Amino acid sequence: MLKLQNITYAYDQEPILKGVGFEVNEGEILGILGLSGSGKTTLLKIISGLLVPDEGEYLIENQPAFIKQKKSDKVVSELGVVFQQFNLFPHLTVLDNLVMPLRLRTKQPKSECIATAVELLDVLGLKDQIAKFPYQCSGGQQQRIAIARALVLNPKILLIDEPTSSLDKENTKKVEELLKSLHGRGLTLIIITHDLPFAQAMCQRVIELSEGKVVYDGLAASYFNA
Amino acid sequence: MEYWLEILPPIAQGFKTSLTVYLLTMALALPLGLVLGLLADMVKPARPIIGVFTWIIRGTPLLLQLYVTMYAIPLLIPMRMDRFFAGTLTFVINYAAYFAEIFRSGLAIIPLGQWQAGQVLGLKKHEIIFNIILPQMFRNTLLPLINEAITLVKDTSLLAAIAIGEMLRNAKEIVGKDLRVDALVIAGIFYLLFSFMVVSVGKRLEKTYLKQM
Repeated sequence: MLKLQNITYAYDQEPILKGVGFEVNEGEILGILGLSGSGKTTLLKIISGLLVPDEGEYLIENQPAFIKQKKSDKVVSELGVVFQQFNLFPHLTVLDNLVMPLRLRTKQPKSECIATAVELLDVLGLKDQIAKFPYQCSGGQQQRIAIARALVLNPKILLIDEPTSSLDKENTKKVEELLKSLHGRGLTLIIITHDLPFAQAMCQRVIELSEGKVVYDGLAASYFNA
Repeated sequence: MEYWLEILPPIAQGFKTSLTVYLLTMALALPLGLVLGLLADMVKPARPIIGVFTWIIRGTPLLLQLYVTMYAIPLLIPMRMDRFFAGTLTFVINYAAYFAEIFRSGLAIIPLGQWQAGQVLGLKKHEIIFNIILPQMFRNTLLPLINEAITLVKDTSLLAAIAIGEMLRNAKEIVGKDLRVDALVIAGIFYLLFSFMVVSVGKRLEKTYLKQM
C-alpha cells in the first residue's frame, strides 16, 4: 500500500534520516516509535508529502509519491493526516473545519458537504460541537475534530502524530477506542508515538527509529515482549 | 448660534475634503499595504526592497513627505503638481507602508502548522492563502488597523501644510479673520464625531471577527 525505500533526508547538511525503508500493508495498524530526535517528525512530513526526501523511493499503491519534486495527488487522496498540535483552523467553526476543505476538494454543493460533515461528526460524537470554534472545545474534542477533518476526504490511510501527547488517561482510552473502531471500518493506521503503553495497546506491527535508522521492524507482540 | 451657523459651511466644506482624502487613503492604502505585506512575507527577493521602502516612509515625518511630493518632485521633474493629488498620493504611500508592516506581522504569527494543514488536505496554494491565511491575518491585524484608521482621522489635518483647504485650515483662517475661537471648537467637534464613527465601525468589526479568539 505504501512503500519507502532507502529514504534519506538532511537539514542543513545534518542527516536526519539515513536510509529508512519499510512497507505499510493494507488494513494494518503500524506504530512508528522512537525517542525525540530519532527522525519521527521528519518521517511524518515525508510520508504526508510536506517534505521531499533527498534520496530514496516512496511509493503509494505502487505509484511514486513525488513527481518532479512535487507530491502526487495520490498522497493527498490516500492519506489523512492528524498533527500532534491538531492544527485546526481557529477562524472556522468545527463544522466549517470539515466543510471548507471538502468543498474545495470535491466541488460538491455546500449542502452536500454539510450533510457529509455532520454525519461524520455525529459518528465521532461531536454533533453538539458543530457550531463551536475550536478554542471552545476540550483537548480530546479537538483531537477528534482533527481526526474527523482528516477523514472527511475519505482517505484509506490515517497518519496520526503523537495522538496521546496532550491527553489525560480517560481521553487516551477514548482515542484508543475510536482508532480501533476506525480500523474496524477498514482504515489503515500509522501511529507515530513515544507512548509505549498506548502503542502496545494499539499496534499490530511496530517500527523503531533510532538516530535516523530503522532498528526494529516486526510484530508489536515480539517487540514489547522482548 | 448665529455666528456658528455662519462659519459652519466653510468648515463643513473642509471636512468634506478631509473625508475624501481619508476614504481614498483607506481604499487605496489597504490593498497596496496588503500586497506589500504578502510580498514581504512570501517572496524572499522582495523583502529587502520592501524593507527599505517601509524604513524610509516610517522613518521620516509625514509632513516632510508631503513637502517632498508637493514641492521637491516638481523641481526634479518639471510638472504642475495638483495639491489634492499630491496630498492623497502621499497619504496613500505613507499609510500603505504602515499597513504593509501590520499585515506582515499578522502573517508572521500564523503558525506554520496552518499552512501544513492546508497542504495535507490537498488544497492549492491560492486556496490556502484565501481560506486559511488571509482570514487569520485580518483577525490578527484588526486592532492595529483600527488604530491606524483613527490616527489617519487626525493626520488629515497635515494637508493644511500644502495649502489644501481641509477642515483645520479653514477653521484657522476663520479664527484669524474673526479673532474668535469658535471655529476651532467646531473643528474639534467634527474630529471627535469623525473618530467616534471610525471607533464604532472598528468595534463592530471586532465584535464580528474577534469572537473566535
